[in-house]
Amino acid sequence: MLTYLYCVLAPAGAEALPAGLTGIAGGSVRVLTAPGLTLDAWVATIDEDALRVTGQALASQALLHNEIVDAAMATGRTPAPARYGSRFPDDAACVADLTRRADELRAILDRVAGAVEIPTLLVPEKLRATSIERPSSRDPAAGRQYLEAIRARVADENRRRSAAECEASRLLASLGDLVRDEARTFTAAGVMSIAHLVSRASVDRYRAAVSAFVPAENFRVVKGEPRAPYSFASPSTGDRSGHDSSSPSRSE
Amino acid sequence: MSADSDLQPNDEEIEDRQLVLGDLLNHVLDKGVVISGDVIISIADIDLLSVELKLVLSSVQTALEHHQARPDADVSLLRSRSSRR
Repeated sequence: MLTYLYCVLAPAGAEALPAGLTGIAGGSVRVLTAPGLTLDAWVATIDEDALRVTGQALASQALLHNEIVDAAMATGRTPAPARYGSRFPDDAACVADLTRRADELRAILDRVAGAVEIPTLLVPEKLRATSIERPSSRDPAAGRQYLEAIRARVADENRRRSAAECEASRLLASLGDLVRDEARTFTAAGVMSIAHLVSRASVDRYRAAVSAFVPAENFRVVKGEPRAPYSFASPSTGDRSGHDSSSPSRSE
Repeated sequence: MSADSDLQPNDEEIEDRQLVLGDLLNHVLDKGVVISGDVIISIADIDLLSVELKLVLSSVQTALEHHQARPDADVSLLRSRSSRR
């Protein structure tokens, strides 16, 4: 058995946990508290084998993880969500780690307090093909053709990324101070995935503003639902913009 | 437009759902607090691109087909918890 971590929250104690909440593998979610630990951690005890899943079961489990994190959001506090699959050998190891990193975690909680993450996707007219067609190895020019295909792909990606960055910057400018923070990820399919950190009180105004945004004609805007601030909960980037390492620098 | 076509999501709506779901999955699998304990990395070998573009498409399509066959069936894969409120 192991201790599976869903999220970390500002302390409110066990009474804030919805009764009967169960997560991955049916494990009952509980609040892990300990002397000296000034944070609440929502955890469950589950069998290690429960996490050895792939394919659709993995997707379902990841969504279940998110549902528990959503339940934490519903308490009115904004959690620092743990990445799916975060586990410890036992409660003591979890407490030890969280205690050691309490300052870092509190800084994250302060950063996201009172806010939600809202995803907005800028989707190009044509999604990008995800693989390069390999020429026949019997073709004497196969090597050159393959390298040319890679070069064309890189040029295409740069063009797409640049256009998407431009649209993302226009969107950000149109949203003004409704956005507390932003993280962008440019996906292999050519979609610009934008996560905006928005105050809970401003969600309706944010949605209205995004709806009013008119993208360039070769893009469309796909709006997602508010979620926990996954994009702004990683201290390891050392980047307060929450910028994904694979994406270019944030345009202000 | 017929009543039936009003009820059926068009291709763009389905693609949008897939994209939103794929984006959520990528964030749950790849973002969030990184703890010092073990992170199950049975997923580490999975290219997230595959998760996004293949597994998710397959999951959503399967769920859609399942839902069309059994309209009372669970289609939770298509909706995040927040969207069900």
